[in-house]
Amino acid sequence: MIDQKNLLSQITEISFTVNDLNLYLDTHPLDENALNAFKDAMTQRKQLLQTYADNFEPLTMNCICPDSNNKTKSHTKYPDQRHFTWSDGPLPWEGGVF
Amino acid sequence: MNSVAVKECECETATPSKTVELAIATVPMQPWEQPYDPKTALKHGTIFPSLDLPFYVTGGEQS
Repeated sequence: MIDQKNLLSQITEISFTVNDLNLYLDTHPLDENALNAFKDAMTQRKQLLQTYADNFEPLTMNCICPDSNNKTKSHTKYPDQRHFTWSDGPLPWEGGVF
Repeated sequence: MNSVAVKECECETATPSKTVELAIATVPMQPWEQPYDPKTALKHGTIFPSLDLPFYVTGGEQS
């Protein structure tokens, strides 16, 4: 079973790295090392977001895919029906933390 | 870099004092360096070790 909390932490961590690389690349657009690091970090982040969406709720609009999201039916009002999965998962004030 | 600001008063915003002085900034172009791993970077607030610096305008703990 995938550790949801751990996966979410990984997404938070890699997102921070992507963001900091973005800031660096704003001022160093030709830096090869930074471009490679950004490419790797973005790939990792997309994979983690995909894994999270497949197993739990979609975290971003790009992750919404009603036919493949939330295999574990976690925190959803419509466990066995085809539904818009954007509403799945706890809301921020219900403890859902992005 | 002058000495670490000692918390002299309760006020939150830093006002010039013995240890917090006005300055003119000359900021060099940041060179690339091997970044921290994502977990460390998030904890330290930067992926770049050279920018992992203390924020001591109005005190603050030594992390």
